[in-house]
Amino acid sequence: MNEPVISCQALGKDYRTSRKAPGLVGTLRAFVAPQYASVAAVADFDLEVRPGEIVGLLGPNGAGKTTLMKMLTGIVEPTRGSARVLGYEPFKRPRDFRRRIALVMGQKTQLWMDIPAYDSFQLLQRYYEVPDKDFAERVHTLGEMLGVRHLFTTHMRRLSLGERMKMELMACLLHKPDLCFLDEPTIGLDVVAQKHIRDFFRDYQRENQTTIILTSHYMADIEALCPRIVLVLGGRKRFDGTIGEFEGILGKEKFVSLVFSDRVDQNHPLWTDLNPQWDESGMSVELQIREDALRERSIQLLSAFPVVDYSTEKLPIERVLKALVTNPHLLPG
Amino acid sequence: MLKAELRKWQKTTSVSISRYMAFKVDFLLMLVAPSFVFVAINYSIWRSIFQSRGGESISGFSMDQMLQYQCWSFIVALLTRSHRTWNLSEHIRLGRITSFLLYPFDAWKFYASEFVAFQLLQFCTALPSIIALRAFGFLPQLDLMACALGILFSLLVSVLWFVCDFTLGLAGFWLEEVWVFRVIFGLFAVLLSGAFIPIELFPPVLQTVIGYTPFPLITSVPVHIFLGTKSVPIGWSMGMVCAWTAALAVVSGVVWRRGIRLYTAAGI
Repeated sequence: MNEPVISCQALGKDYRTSRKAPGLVGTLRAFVAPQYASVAAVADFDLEVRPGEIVGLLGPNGAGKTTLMKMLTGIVEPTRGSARVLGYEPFKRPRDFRRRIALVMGQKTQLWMDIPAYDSFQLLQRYYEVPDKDFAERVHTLGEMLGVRHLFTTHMRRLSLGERMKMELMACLLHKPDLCFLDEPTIGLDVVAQKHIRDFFRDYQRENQTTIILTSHYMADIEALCPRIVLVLGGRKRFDGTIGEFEGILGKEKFVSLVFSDRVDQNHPLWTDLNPQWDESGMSVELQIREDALRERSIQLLSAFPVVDYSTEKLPIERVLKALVTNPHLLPG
Repeated sequence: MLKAELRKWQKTTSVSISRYMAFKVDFLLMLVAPSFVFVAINYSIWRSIFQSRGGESISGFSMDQMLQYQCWSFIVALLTRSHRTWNLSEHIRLGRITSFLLYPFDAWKFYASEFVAFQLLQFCTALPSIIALRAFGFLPQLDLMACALGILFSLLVSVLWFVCDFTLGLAGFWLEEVWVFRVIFGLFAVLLSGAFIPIELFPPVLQTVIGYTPFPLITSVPVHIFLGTKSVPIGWSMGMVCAWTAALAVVSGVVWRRGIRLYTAAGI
């Protein structure tokens, strides 16, 4: 019982890319004798996800997150390794497998733009063979949760980006998938719409225990939804653990902001080893201070400089990610 | 199971019709433009050719016969050539078939349903066109049996066209651009099928060679069925259309299975 929803071992995907030297000579050479190179988008990837988990895939652009999702949804064939998703081999794409998964792509619409969303929902109802009663109930519930019921009969192309994304979410959840892949579902949305969608997913997941794999460049999405984080760098898994463990990679540190009444000496020895990030005016700074030294260092700083505002919080996940992407050697293992 | 599958086809077809009709001007032009092009170009050219020759027949075709041939060629084109899958290669290149890999309704079924939707609309255009051509005197008294057989044969040919277009579209898995192939194939098809020049006007050697290809089946044969030409082996021709369709369907299945392994879902 409680078999993993996703289980993959040594999963890898290579892409063949053409190479062309710059200029006319390069163009002619590429025309006569094209050269190709194989690039490993994902390599040696092991992953296990249990039912009901929400896992956040983190990593910079081109790290391999989306390729990993494409392999796990059966869209692209892995070059190496093995994967089982819901007990199926994804790339074989058996119909029962497709009925149980959903993929939301923030950068690509899956609904038909030329017709109202409700027409697309009805089409998906047929594809997923959702009984009429369940369909009506789900459309009503999801429409209420997302606040888009009044837009069902409007052509998709006339909706705003946020409204369109809400329709996409509805479309992907109409068949009540066991496993949902969300690839940057809040990209391009304003902060209010982002929060709306985050809250929706948190409530939906709590109620339905759907397994969710999420990628997002907005750390607020990850922090709000994902107790577990998988960090992907250069196509490889570099971290897999709780959000607390992730935040602790750089040591137990606090993030301190100071605002001054006047410009201060930025070369003062007190700033040493605090990783100061000055703003352009030189009137405020952000620091990283070890938790056990916070009291002592704060007293020193408040005594030495004309501080008018002081705030502290735990190290933002963005900072941790940025530090790890630029200094991968800090990662364990 | 079968009922659920049929409902998927039916719903996809009706949604496709809604999509075609979403843009009214585009939709109306789509219906009217082929007739306009036909009258403006094909019919006028042949009329001019015959008039410049003082009405003298060409390889047994009188002017009236040739103009009737062109009228029926236009009707056959309406009934057969939907070209709804012309954009398949672009969809592959831009990663737009991704959704169909996720839905429990295969990509080919989606494109086939779109084709059925378009054919229904084309059929609704073809029937009034036949009536209009007759009413304006372009066609003589209609032989209803020949018309029914011609329509039936044309619908069979439309399936062959669809499978052919779909197979060509799959080249998008390997090639960035396939429109040149399509244009070349389209030109060959128009020329060698007798859509513009009846095959009877070709040199005998070329007629023999073309006879071994499916090209005559896609225009010349159905036109002759509409014309009521007695010598057309209808049963055998229908069998050939089915055989070519089946063969191409097998090829497209193989090509799809190979091509999908190269798919990268670009753009997501």
